[in-house]
Amino acid sequence: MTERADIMRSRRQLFATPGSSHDRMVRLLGIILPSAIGVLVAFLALAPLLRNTEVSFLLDKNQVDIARERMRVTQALYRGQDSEGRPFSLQAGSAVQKTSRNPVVEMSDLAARILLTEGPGVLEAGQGTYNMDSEQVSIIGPVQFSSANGYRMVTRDVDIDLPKRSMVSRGEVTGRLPAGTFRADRLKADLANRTVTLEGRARLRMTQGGLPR
Amino acid sequence: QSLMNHNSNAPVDYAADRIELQDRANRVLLSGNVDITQAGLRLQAARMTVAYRNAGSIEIERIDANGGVVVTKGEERASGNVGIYDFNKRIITLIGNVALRQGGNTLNGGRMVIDLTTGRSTVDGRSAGGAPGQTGSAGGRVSGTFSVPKRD
Repeated sequence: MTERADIMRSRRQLFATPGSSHDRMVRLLGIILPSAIGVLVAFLALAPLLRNTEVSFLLDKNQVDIARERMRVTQALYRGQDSEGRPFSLQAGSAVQKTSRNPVVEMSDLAARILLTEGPGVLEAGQGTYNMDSEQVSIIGPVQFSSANGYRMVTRDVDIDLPKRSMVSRGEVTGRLPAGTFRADRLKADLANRTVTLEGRARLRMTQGGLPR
Repeated sequence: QSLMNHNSNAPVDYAADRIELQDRANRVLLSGNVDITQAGLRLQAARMTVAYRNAGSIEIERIDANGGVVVTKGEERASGNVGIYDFNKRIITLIGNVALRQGGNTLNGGRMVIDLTTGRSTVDGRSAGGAPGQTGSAGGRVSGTFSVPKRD
């Protein structure tokens, strides 16, 4: 046989002789592996008792972050139709509806647009609530109504019926109209015909422009 | 002569039980003991209608008052059934058993015209409306009592 084959064979024979590196490695593994298994088994047996932290967790209903209201909208826009089928729209900086049972939406810096014969009319207010069932807006604080031909009405704390385009004050009211400034115990306004009725100790002050006559 | 050169352009303050402002008709209807004051002139009645012009700023044209009209200014007090305050001509016309009380003097008649520029009030007997100088339908009489200061 060739010389090289003899060398290869002898190296393999050397590797195969008892007490060679192979045998030592096998004997070593024979000790390490079973002990590793033992350790693992021991660890698995003792693990749940040793560690005291809560490994599993329970979804706690009241700790989860739930939304307080049913609906919260920013830049809300609500469209509806008035009694003659003309559209009106109600826009709000923010609109919050507390619960689904209660149809009232609390709105801030709201603007309602209604359509009048001579063009659109706009009602602007800082604070108000809108009842979706009755389509009534009740304003808290000042409100301004301006219509296309420069008619401007400023008053406060009124309830507005958008479909009927009418406005009623809840209590004592003050305000300004083209004709002058007024106060009264009650106010009723028909926005379509631009008539305002003041009742109960009504006061009006008309300042005339122009040169003294 | 306290009615003299009254400024008809001064602001007018209205007080009433009920005020209806009709912007489209440029009109204001007042009812329920209406009380109007303008620079010392006071007009009271049961019902009043104010007609105004709105050319950018408010110009009152005329006020029609009826139902026990009383015009008071200073110590002069005139009353009648119907009163018309014409802002352009600056006169107040009272019609229907007109009575004028000025200090101690009283004057009664059918019709009275108060001229707010000159402060002159003319009373004539006709109770029906009509331009002064026409012969009135009802030949009413004008009566008056004047108290003369005693000279001692």
